[in-house]
Amino acid sequence: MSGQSAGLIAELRTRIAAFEGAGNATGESASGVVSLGSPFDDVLPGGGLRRNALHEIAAADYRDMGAGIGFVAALAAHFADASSSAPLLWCEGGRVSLDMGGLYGPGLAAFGLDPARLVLIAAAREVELLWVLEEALRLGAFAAVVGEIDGRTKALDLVATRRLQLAAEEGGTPLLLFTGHESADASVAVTRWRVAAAPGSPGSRFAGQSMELVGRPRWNAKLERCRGAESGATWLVEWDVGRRKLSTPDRKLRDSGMRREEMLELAG
Amino acid sequence: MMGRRRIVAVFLPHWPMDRLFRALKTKGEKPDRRRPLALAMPGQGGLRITARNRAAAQEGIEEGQLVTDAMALCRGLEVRDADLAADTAALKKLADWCGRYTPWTAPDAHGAGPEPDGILMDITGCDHLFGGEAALLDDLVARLRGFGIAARAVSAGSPGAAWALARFGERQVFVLPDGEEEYALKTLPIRALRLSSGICDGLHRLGLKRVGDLYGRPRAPITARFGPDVARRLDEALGRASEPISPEMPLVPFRARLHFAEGLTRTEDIETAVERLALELCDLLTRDLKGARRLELLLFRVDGEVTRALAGTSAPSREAKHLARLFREKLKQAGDDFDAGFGIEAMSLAALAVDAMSPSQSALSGERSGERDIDALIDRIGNRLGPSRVRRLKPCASHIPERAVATVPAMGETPSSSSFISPNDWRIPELQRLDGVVGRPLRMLACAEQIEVTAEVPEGPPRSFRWRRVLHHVVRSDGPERIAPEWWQRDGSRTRDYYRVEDREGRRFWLYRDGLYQRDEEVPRWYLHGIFG
Repeated sequence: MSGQSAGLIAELRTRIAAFEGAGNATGESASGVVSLGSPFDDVLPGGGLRRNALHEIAAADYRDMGAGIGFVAALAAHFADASSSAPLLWCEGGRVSLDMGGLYGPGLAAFGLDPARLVLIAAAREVELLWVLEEALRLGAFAAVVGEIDGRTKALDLVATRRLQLAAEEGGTPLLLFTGHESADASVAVTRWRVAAAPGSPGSRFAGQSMELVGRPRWNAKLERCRGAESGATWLVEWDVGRRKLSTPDRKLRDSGMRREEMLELAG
Repeated sequence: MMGRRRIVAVFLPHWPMDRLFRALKTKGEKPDRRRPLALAMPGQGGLRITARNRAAAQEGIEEGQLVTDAMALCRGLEVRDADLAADTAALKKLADWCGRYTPWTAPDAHGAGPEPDGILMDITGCDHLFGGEAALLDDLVARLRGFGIAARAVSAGSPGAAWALARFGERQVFVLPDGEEEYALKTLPIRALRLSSGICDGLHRLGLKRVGDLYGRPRAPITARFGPDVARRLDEALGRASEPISPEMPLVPFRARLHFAEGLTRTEDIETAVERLALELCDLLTRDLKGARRLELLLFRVDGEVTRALAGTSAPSREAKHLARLFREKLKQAGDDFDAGFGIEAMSLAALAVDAMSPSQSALSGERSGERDIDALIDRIGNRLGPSRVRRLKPCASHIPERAVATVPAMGETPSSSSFISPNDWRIPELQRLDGVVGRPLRMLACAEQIEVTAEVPEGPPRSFRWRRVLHHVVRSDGPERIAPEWWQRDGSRTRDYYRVEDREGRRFWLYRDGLYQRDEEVPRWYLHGIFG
């Protein structure tokens, strides 16, 4: 009985994936996705992040903006590593960089992103930003396109996200859309993540020092939404600088002692 | 064939008045030409007339007259302020419009008054497009008359002769064949030589009143008395000495132009025309193995206005489609602002700057094509958003964090063009490689923000700090990483001790203490400089 229904569900999923167009939700072709490694791939349809899709990332709170950007950089690094030398386009909407400073080359390098491969664009208006993202996606020559836009922006409506998704499909280029601490009201994003800061990996302590050293960066990442799969998974993720990979230091955060209950509340 | 140069001098005898009427008309006013009107500006002894219309001239109003005398002569005289700046600016635009005949046009600065009153054009090799010089001049004068501008136009082999005949010749439109300068100028007054009024008066006193009076006269005494100007101007006018023409508009070898029988008004038509121009321009570029870097599109409107659009490319290009597309973004962006008026009657597309480009560079092949696509996109984004908004990061040889990296415009900058350090040398501290820790923040504030810090010991790491009104309790910290100011930069900066800190919630920041405790007189201050991912 349960085996039968599992088979039925699998078949339905295949059919839904077919409706949804280019996406290979069942993972028939491995080239359409970029593996994030275990345990993320187990949840993500097709065993990784879809390459030709819109992925939304939001910070859980204003104070988690740094964590959000860190997670975006980590995902971008995964996409950049997967393509040999294609550059990366990073488009800012003006306000974020005013508030949180500009992208810093050495810091990006620490995330495994070669700053020399980066094209930085500062759009003055949201409409321009969306135009740049669309054109860059459609070109199909970038390893990934990153956009920073306030999720509350009126211009970022259902139609705009659909256009971006279509452009991503056309060019086979992933779009990482960082929407600040507010996610877009309506969106066709294939995945949506909400990221909060988390204490880094335990650092070493020198004798006589009162404080530990800062360890590797970690974040709480919740897969709020994922087309073609169960959403709601939350992980404590760690950025492994040496291997340039995301990993989970603990088991799923759900099972481990959670450090920030309010994060889940905020994330709804 | 390199024949002699052919220069057109256009003289606008009533320019300030014509200009004023044109300006009034565009404002929707309907000035009455039959009412006497004069322009005046402060001169010796009070306001003096600088220009007057025909009605005022019939009343006996003269240029240079005192306004009070003029008012006494003519009761109904309307006097307005002369606007020299507007006259000059409008003349510049009119000179641009003359660009429909030849790429080289400029306001003529040799006029008798302080302001230019004419236009000089170099039409060498252009006249055949208009059916010969005489037809070109007729067309020019007729069109100007259509705009309500009185004009005289003369073409000659030297700017001096053309200038003289346009102002003092008998015919309104005249083509002076080469070699006849001496005969044509013979009877013109000395003033036709573009000499200062002082020299003209002096020559008059000697009985030298006509240009012909100078012919064959020994030069040494005249030069001794009046300086070298007289002989030089005479030689220039007669075409014996070459005269450098104003470099205002350098001759552009790569230019394509189109004329339309009827004015174009639809944007689609204009775009199609731009594509045709681009194809033509690219043929020229291909022939010389050049690629365009800077482009200028001129749209000549039926009513005498010129719309100018500029575009740049990040790498030399002679791909017609790409070049045309740059302007399509421009025209689209201008949107409603773009006004074709009564139509576009001529267009020209020029490559203002070109770079050498070998044939192989234009071949689409393998990996290069992706890069070229990206260059093309950068061009388009840069032309729509502004070139400064598209940037690349470039490492710099400095250990001061904010100077270690520069953002440079992506247009015209290839990622590998670096001075003496390799682009991959991003100066990531060794620390990071050791422990797998991220040593530099992902974002840096443009200006480090001052924070309130409490520390256990003055030289120690911060225990807590307040940034943007939020209190952060530090639970982990790394540091100090001491960064001394560059001794050759005497900008008063102090030694900084950087700390990477993590607060209780796991947010990571880069802080520094500006100054050292024992060494500096001023108490060190704390700043927040960067935000880690």
